Amino acid sequence: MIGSVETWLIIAGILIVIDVFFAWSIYVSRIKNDIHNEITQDQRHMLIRILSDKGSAVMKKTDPAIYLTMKRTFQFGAEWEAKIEALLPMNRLERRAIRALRSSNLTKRAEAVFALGRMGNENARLALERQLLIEDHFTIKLYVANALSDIGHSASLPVLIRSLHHASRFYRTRVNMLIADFGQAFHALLPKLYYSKKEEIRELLVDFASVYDSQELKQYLLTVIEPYIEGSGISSSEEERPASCSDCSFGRADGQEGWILCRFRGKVASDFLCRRYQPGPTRISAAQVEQELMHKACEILSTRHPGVLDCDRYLYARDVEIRRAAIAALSNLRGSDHPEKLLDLIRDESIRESAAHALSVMIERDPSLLELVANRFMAETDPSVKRTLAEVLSLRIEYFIMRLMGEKKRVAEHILEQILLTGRVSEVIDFLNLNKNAELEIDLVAIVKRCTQKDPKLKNLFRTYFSPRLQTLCESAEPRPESESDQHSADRAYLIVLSILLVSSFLLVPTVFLVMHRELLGELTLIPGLKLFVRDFNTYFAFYAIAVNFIYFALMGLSFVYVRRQKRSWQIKDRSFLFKPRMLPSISIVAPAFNEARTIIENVNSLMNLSYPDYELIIVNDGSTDQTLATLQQEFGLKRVDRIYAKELQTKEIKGIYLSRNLPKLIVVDKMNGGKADALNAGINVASREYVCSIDADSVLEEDALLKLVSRILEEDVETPAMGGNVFPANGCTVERGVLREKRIPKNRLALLQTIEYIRAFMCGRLGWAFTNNLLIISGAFGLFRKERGVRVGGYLTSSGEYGKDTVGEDMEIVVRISRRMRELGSPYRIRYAFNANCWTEVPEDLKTFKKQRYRWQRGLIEIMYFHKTMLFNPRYGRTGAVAMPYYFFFEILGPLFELQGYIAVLLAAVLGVLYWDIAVMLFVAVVLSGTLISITSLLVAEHGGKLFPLKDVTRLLFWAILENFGIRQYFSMIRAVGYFRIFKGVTGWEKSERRGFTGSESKRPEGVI
Amino acid sequence: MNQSRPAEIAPGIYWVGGTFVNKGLQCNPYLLIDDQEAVLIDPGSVLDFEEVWGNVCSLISPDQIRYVILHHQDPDLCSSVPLFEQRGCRFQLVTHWRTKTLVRYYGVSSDFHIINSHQNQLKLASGRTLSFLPAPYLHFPGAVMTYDARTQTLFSSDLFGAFSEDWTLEAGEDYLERMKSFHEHYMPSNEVIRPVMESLMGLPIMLIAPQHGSLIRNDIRMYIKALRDLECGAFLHSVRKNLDISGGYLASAEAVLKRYASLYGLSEAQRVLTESGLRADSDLRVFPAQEADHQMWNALLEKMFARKGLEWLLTAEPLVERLSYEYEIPLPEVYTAHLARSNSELQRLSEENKSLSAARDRLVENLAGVEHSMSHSMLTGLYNFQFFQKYLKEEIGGIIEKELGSSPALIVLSLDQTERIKYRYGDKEVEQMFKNTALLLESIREDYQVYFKLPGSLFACYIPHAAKERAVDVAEEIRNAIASSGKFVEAVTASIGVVSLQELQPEEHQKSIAPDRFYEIALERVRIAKNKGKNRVCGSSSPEDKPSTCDILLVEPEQTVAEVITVVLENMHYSVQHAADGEKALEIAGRFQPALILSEVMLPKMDGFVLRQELLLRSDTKSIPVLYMSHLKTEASVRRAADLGVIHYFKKPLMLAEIQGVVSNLAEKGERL
Repeated sequence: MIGSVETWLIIAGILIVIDVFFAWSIYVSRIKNDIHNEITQDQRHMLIRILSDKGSAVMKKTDPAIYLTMKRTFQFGAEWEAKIEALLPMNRLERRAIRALRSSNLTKRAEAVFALGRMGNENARLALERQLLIEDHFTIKLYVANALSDIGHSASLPVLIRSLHHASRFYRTRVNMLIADFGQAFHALLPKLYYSKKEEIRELLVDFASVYDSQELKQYLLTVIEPYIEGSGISSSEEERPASCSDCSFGRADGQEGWILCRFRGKVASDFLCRRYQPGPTRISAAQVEQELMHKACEILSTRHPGVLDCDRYLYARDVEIRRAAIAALSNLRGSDHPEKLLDLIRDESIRESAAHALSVMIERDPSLLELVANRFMAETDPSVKRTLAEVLSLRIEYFIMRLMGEKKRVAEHILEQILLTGRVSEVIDFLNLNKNAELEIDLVAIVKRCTQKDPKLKNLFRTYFSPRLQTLCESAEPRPESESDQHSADRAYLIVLSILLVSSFLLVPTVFLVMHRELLGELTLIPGLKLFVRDFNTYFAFYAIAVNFIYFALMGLSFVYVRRQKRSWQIKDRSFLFKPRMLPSISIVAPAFNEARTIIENVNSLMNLSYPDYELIIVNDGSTDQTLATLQQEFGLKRVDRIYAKELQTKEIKGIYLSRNLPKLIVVDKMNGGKADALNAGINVASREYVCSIDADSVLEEDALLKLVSRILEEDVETPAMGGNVFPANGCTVERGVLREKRIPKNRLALLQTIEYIRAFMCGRLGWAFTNNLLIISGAFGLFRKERGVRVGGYLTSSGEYGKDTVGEDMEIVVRISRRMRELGSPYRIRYAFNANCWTEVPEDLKTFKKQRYRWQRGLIEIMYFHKTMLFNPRYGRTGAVAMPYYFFFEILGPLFELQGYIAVLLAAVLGVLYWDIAVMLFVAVVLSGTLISITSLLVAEHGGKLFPLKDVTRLLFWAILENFGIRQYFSMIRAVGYFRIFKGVTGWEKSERRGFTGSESKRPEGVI
Repeated sequence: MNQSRPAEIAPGIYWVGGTFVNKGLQCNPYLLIDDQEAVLIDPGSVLDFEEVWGNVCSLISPDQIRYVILHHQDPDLCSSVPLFEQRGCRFQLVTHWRTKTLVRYYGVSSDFHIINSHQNQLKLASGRTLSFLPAPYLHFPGAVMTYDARTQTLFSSDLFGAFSEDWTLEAGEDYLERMKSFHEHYMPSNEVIRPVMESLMGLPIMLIAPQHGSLIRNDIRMYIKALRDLECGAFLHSVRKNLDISGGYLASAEAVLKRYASLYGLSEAQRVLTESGLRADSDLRVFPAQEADHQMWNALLEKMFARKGLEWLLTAEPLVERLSYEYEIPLPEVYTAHLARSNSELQRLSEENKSLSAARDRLVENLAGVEHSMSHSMLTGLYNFQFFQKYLKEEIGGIIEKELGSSPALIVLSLDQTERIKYRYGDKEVEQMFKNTALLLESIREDYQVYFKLPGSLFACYIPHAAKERAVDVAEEIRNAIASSGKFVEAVTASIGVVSLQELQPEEHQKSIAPDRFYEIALERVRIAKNKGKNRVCGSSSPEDKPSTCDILLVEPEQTVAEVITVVLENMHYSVQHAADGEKALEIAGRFQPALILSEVMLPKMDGFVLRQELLLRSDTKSIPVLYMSHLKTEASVRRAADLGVIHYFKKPLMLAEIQGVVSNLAEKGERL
């Protein structure tokens, strides 16, 4: 029934051969790569030599692709280009590329598009224009548009404009900017488009106006805002476009205008409507579009054509947005009567804020206005206006503090008092804490005292931030002790379910055994019965192992396919494309830090110098008890600011937000201790960009990791609510000013074994799952999600948050929750993973910490499963419910428990003497050889991303990857089983007394460790 | 309870007291037996002699008594000594010399063992040592206690004693309170008792055996602490209250004011008075205000400190300390807050650097010679020009004359925008600017540096001992602090000249001309700095810069890109240095002084913006023109580049012709290309 020993021996032989082959090919691919690189290098040098006047080198067989790669960063100019191209077989390349445009393989098409774009000749352009019309894949379409805009021939414009019709907003926002790049050429087309009512064209023109100046465009913008000046714009109900296929999430624009390609019905007219209709994720109503257009137009007018808005018609328009724009325009104008005008406008409540802002801008440009505003302030009687003026003056609060020593002391005192009462206290606190001058101190303290008497709320602020000496000076009482009861009620239902699972996992095999041998039941005595049982158990176990490995093999196969595709798609994307405006979304990196004083500078340096178009870095100091904040302040010259942000997620109190004087991208948030999830939520609140990237403060990102990861967004035009990259142990690496100088495997054996584990988990598991759009887990050490999605699902799970729950696996949980929400909304989405976006982080080097970490992971996984148990086997959740969740449930949660029994059974079999050859060989094949194969193939896959480690290290890694299967992996699996048991201790309060720090032990989860 | 039998209270130590009690005052004589020798401690009065004699005889033969310790001279412990002598005992009287003088009057005939001449110790034949702890004025000037190290017993004499109406040998629960009332009456004051008790805190004590009251075995530290913190001297209270009414704070305030007036003049003192809300007549006799209390005392000193700074605090310290002590009022808060801090700072510095502290001494010495009121600029509070000249003369002259090895440096700075501010905002604003500058300098000042306000918009900083490079660093720090400060009405910068004494020519190294020459050179360098375009530090008189050894520094992380650009630039006959990251670029820029920097924005280790900021911080690199080239070219990044004074921002893909054009244009405009 099992098959003979011979069969298994043959299988074993085959596996060994494959193992050896793969191991060997790692080396071969290395050598091949090296040779290839050398040749490329040589040829590149030859090309460069042509550039120098020192003489034209003889071109051997040079690959024209190298020349095209160089053209990514240079426009050599016609003379040189002609010189080089004469020497290269450009025609052949061109023909091949044009042919490849018709290929069904997406990657091939994309490569061809980029190649043609760089060749940039007439043929290439015509081919691309044709392609733009017939192409139905949006990503490729975007590439084509980009290539055309690179070539920059005005003849391409009509085609490009046409491609906008019925295109998704994803495509439109990007291509609008590409078209705008044409500048003058596009401007010439303006008369044709001027009166178009189509929303695509109107958007295009407004976008164009944001980068191009002309009278006509100015006029156009004015007509856009015109309807809002008198009335309140277009009434939304009349103009609402009826629901139709053109904005259904299943529809795609066909090449031909007026036709839509539906996923279910094929080609249909764009006004067709069926019962499957579902509004697309980016669809918004016509009125909303109009509104947005008007806002954009206002903004552009106020920055680029401020003069035209400077008249009462706009300053006193009915629409507030227009008024604001007009006021902002005033600040951009130079002239003496404007400040007076603004000072009058400030009395109007609806636009006060904008007027105040405009005034601040003007003062910054012309400090002499300060006096005028100060006089106005003194004369003002309306308290709310006075308050606003104080806010404006607070811009130069330091100057007014200094004035306390001078002539106009009274005025300064008055102003300072008012500024403090408006809540701008940071500067005064900072000043007083650092001040050495006694006279100023006395004066300021007197003002502070007066203010705290008027507004008791201020008292608390000063109490928190003043040094003890100043506190006594200001006679503040002791800070109120904050009592907080941290109550975790043990969830009974949770424990019961866990117990049932545990018991049934242990009863499973006996039950099967009894059913199989029911006819023997009466006859069996104890010892033979036990022997039979153990023997059967071994067989089941072997089958289980085979089943698991089959899944891995399947994933591995997918990984192989996917990694090649990813690699090629990364190679074709060049930076000049990725850095084009609006091409990639903006990102807020949130790095929570708890007691990281030792390493924080290094990590900020690493995160500040990433190569990415638009990002900010938010360090959240989670109530560290060491010098973390002080170190940051000293190194980066932090300044406390009163930044306003929407508090969308509930977190522990934020004590202060700091900006760096020199690094505008850096934001430091100081808050009360609340654990990692809480810190992340606080960071999300402060974040202002489209995506939020969570990173452990003790990790180092590779310079282009973010770019590699986020550029995967361009692969398809479905929404990407979350994505994640690789995490590797950094224990062996040397870091220099935030840059990985040398990547080595760790010397520590435990860390080394983890390296293998991580590579396996990411290269086999993550890639495979991502390929099937089943990715459920993203490591907290390096993961991104859309801020809007993250906020809508309630952020990371904390006890103070929306769900009132806490988990140790918050990083993984949020992705599950986002997927769940996306499924519930029914919007198509894809969680992406980039195999070459690397993050390096410290892993535990001693067994104790290691075990603790693994217990946590297991606990986190189970908590998540329990929290989202409704998704399990639920057809409503599609593949996630049908495949991914069950996989985690059976193989990651119950798996280790079953393995534990399996190993015991093998031991028992050995003791009882029933471990026969056939079963032994079978187990060996199922457990050891298959495992080895998976490990080696993972290494091979990892090689695709470039050299991860030097060759010597790879050899060592290979050695351990094989050795690991003889016991070590089994031991790690046991630790996970133990993790399950520990939950019973944990939930009943065994582990929770730990302070919630997070130095590196929680979040590097390489998902289910295979 | 009566006890007349001797009791062993510690190994070899016996209580040998009698039953006689007078008004709750029980006397406790102790006998210490050591081998063949015995020591009798505080033998007692005439009244209970018989009982004590009986007790002693029941333990030893009386001729074994070698010593009798008398802790002080009261009759309740000394008057029985002549009776012991009459019964034929031969011993030495162990006591303080002050006690001896008085004990004589009891008519004793024994020899004295004066503890003062025996290192406060008594050595017994067995080698056992009893040591004596002084307890002056508790309650006799020569009072002592005896400590036996072997049994860790303290014979404390009157200390730890108590009135005991119903006496027990061992102290009970309520002993503390009894003890307190005894001390409140007998001991003069907390100031006297505190140090003695503090010295006891460090001593291992198992048992306290007082002359009155009961034995203390438990919670010994608690008892010591109780006495340490006890406000005793109950009969003095009436005296002190009187003091408070007649003077106290008021008297202290007057004394301090008089001292103040003697230093700074009467009118200044009057000003302080009015500012702190007090009134006084022409003799500075303060009228009793409503709250003649601690608050007033604090406010007065706070105001004085605000007006005259730390120097005044230091001058007045002994006086204030004495007054506080005399009137038993707490030290003013300014002292606790400021003085402690500055003292520790001074200490640290003097230990750190001897030459610096020597320089400071010289400064203090020189300072003492100059009237303070004459030496400071009214406006800024810094030292004024007259003082500067005098100081420089003394200091430089001193160094040359005495051939001291120190090499002082002088930094002179001129504010660049003085004229402009004067024109736009008026003279008041200029004054304000000087004030702010002084404050700014004060905030970055290190302790050994001296700042001066010179005529016009000049300031100076004298550093007593510093290498030239260090001085230039200080100057750069000052320059950057001023340029980045928000304290001024609009941005203000400074041109700075730095000179070191070692730079003087040998023939100028004379006492008569060196100080002036020193200052002249600094001024000359300020002018050079101004001419070179202001907001910079100049540390050498030759107008030439360091010779540039390369034309263009190319900062580009990608090897291929760098190679292409290098080739293109070399075609134009420029020499090119290449750096792959920001840190390296900064280093090369400092070393080679390139005429132009062409840099990517996104760089490892330090991005292009930070690189430019770092370059701006150094005067020798701040005017190197910088061009950016990058894929990243957004509105924000271009604006930031413009703020940093970057000349041109190329967008990648780079048009080679554009680079060539911009570079050759720069060359034509007379940049050093």
